[in-house]
Amino acid sequence: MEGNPHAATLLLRSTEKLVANIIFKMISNPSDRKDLMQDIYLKVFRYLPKFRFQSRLSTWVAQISYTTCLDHLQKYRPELTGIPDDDKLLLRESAWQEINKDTLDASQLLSLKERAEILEKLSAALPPVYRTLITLFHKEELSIDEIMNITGLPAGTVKNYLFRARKVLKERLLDYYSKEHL
Amino acid sequence: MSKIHLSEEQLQRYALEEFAAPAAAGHVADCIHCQMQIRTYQMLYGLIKESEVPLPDFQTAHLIPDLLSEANAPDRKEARYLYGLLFGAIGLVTAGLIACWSTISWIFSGIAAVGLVPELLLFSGVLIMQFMELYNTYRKKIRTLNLE
Repeated sequence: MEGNPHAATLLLRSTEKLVANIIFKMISNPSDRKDLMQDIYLKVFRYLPKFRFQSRLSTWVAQISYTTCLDHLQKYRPELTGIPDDDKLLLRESAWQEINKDTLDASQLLSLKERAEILEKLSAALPPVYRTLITLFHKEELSIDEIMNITGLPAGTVKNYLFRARKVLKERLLDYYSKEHL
Repeated sequence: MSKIHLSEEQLQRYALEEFAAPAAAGHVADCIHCQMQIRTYQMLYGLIKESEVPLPDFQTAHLIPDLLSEANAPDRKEARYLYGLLFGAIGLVTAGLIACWSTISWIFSGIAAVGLVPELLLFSGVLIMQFMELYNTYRKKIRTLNLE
């Protein structure tokens, strides 16, 4: 990698979507995202010679992204890193109320883009770790083992967080759409 | 047909096609409630899958030249900081010992050697526990960067 911009570009191109997904799910402040992206790839390029191929390269990059974002949250937004229990999670109603206020009729929201926006707003009410796990599992289609490697969380915890996040999102979707639309 | 609805976990797994017990399939075939729950989960999974990958508002490729030069530069800052901290701590303890030697020797002069052992053990134990806690905190980061 030393002094080889072409190799660096290839590495960046192959992993930037995954890194962007993690950063965007964990960090809400846009100005912090660029700094974090730089910080993550600086670590990647610096420690790449020590990468021992014990996992896929993308998993290793995702690991660095996750821990860097988590460090950032712990440093600057300590209130967001705590994992709420089910009741507290369900009581996070701010985003939900915003959706109800903005959108009066479910039938107006049939396009994919609009539904994606709804999902984004629903997800915004979840803690960053939940959002990231949901994205890694359902969007990036990573296995539980790979998510364990990335986050350092035990399998049971990953499954539990995924279960709770899906349940909250499902309940909100059910509330939103009438039975006729399902 | 079983009249017991699927549990929330079973519904989630059914929607992912990870759970296909014959009894559950029989129940779902006739249960509108469970069908609706499963359909909602499938819709949710679909929405997540279809969602667009967020795009940063900057060109990531433009970061490369700066990042490469910075990554290839020897990382002396951290080493200097660590050595400074280590030598500073040693110096501070030594200076404290020299300055307060007469007081320290007076404190310990009346205590028998047997009495000193538990205190030293306790002190060492506290130090080891603190070190282990610090080590565990950084262990994950060290592993992530393959420095172990």
